[in-house]
Amino acid sequence: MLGNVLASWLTSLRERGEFEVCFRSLLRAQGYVPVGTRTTHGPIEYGKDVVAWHPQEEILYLFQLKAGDVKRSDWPDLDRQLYELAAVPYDHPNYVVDAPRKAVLVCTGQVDATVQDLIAKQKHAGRGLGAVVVWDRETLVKAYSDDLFSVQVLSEAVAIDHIRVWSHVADYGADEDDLWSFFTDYIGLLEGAGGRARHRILSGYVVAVAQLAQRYLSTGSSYSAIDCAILGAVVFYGALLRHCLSRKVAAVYCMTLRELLTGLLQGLADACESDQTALSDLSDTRAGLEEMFLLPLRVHSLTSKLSLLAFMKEQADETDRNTVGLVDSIVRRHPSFSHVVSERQAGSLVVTLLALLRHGFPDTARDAVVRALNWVAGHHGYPGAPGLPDPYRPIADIPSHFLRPRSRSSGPAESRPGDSSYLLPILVKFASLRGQRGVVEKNWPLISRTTATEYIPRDETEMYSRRSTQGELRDRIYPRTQSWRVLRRQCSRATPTKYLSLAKAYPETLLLLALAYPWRAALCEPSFYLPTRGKRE
Amino acid sequence: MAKRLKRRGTTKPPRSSALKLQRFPSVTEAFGEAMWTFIGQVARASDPFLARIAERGVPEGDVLVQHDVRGKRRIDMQEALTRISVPTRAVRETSIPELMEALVKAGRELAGQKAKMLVERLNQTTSETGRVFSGKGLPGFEAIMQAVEKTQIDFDSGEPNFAMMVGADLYDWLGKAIPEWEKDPVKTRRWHALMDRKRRAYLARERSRKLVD
Repeated sequence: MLGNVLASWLTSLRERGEFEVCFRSLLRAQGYVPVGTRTTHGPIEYGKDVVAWHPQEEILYLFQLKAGDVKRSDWPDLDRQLYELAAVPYDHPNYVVDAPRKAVLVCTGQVDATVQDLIAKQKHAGRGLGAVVVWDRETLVKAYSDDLFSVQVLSEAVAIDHIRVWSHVADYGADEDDLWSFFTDYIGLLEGAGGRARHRILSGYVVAVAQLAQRYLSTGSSYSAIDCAILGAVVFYGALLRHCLSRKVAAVYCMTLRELLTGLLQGLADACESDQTALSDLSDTRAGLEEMFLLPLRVHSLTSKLSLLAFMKEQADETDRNTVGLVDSIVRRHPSFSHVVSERQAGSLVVTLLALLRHGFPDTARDAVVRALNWVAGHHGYPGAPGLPDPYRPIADIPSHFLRPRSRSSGPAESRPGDSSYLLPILVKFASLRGQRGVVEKNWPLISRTTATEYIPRDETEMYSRRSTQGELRDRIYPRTQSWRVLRRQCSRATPTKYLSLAKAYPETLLLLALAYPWRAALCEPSFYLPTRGKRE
Repeated sequence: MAKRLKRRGTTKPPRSSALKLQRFPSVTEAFGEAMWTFIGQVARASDPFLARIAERGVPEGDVLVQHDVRGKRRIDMQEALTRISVPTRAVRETSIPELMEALVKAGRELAGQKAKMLVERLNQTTSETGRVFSGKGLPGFEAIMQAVEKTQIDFDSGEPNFAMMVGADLYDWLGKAIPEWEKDPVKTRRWHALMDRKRRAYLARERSRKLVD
């Protein structure tokens, strides 16, 4: 699939200033030394668009570049250029004039069979060059694919940002804002772009996401690689909606992002499969007291990623109950799954619960909901409760949220009926959907003191934006006395269809949205993924 | 050429056989910072004596050397250590109250150590500068007057700014004696006269702050 994106990207490039620059980058990645940084075009180029020295082979390569297909009608010009390529020597003070040379016709499209035949028949070898080699699109795709992580394939407008982000990658938690800015700036180039330029931006973007994910992998952080790919995909989906790109245009890029993500997730799942003893206790014995906050984050991160893989495999018609089996095992063995330390975990919680419910582990999901609801109510439901950091706050804010001196005496901050919560209503929704009246009833005095907060976007485009300046931030105060029937009816609402055009084509998008932007987790309605209801208590 | 293109294979993500745990370095770093801030706040809040003293961070170095017209004075850093321990069970169960309890305990322990170190350092410093007064055998009011006489007092806010460290018995005794002294016009006059002298001395000191040839 990456090959398709690369082919599309190659096809979108103009020869001058675009393909030529990227081709030089490829040559450098492959050990060639392009001679000079600027090529003279026009009558005196003598058929040589790019000249490169290969130090190991000690051969001077003379490249004639062509953007697009080479047709039969191009032959007269091409023949002349190939002749000049062969007949006119290349003079450069640093290179021996009579050094061995090789001529290469490089074409970003396909070379017509007749032209191929003519090239062979011209016997340019007789002009001192040896046979002219042809690198067509297929050869280039292979070359770029093999050297994907060493070559610069970006638009000039974002190249500096890409290099900056690339060179500073450390951990997704720390890099998230920078990555988002880079992805947004890159995809923002679509503004006003059309036709070939649009394809170039889209394909370059997808390749950049793959390159950055690979960069995280090379630093040993497969979790960050996956999070980076998820963010890249969500920014991409947002751009599809904002720029009204047709499904047909977007299909190949969506599929490539899906393939990239599945590959990264599968790598993680393989590691889990091969080391199942490690799954029984995900505690990091090398960590200090901060492990109290790290363990819930770690458990959530792993289970949500495995859950996402199960969904994506299901989309590809692969049944994979085994992966969700691992999720089930991790959730059951780690009470900290339910001990959320930030509402930012709402996304990973929702994705994991949906996977457990969808793939036949309802009891584990129900237990997790009960524990989580008790836990969250305990952190929100009494005056002066510490609450949880809201989902917009980065995970690095978690320790300072809890480790702050807190007065138990009543004061203005504690006189409110309760802290607001984005997560509690999600848990209430899961509990009511599964008919878990007991836990809701038990915690109602606490739940009813909490203000349920939710963002309601005006449309699907706003839903996929990271922070929208429009839409409604809705605070809902639960009534002191609530009817279970009414609550269940409220919680069983279906996602409005105006939010689902993308999710209908690519069902994983809502899950990715919940993981990339956890403050949107409430919009990942269970009804979309769980069409049939389970048994009631 | 195709062969050459084939030799470089970096597209496939490397497969790892063993599961690596996610470490969240940004949270770890933030935790360290938040924990020490919290302990520091607890330490200050738990000891009114420490709470009144301005704190200054020491970004680097292991000794503080103060230079003034009288020469230089070296102050070595002293370490206050505390142990923070939380049961593994509490970590696994995300028992944040137990963590807070351990940190509060550590903060109080540190406060005790810091207060002790501070008293020792004050005793040492005041002995060196002659600002210790032993009131043994003197009448209370006279002792206080002599002690204040030996003290340099600033009037930055217009009011005398000084503090005295006294033992618990003397503190209690002063609490009863001062209201009595305030009723005595002779003692009150002497006290105001002393404060006037001190204020003039302060103003003279401040006036001398200038650059001359």
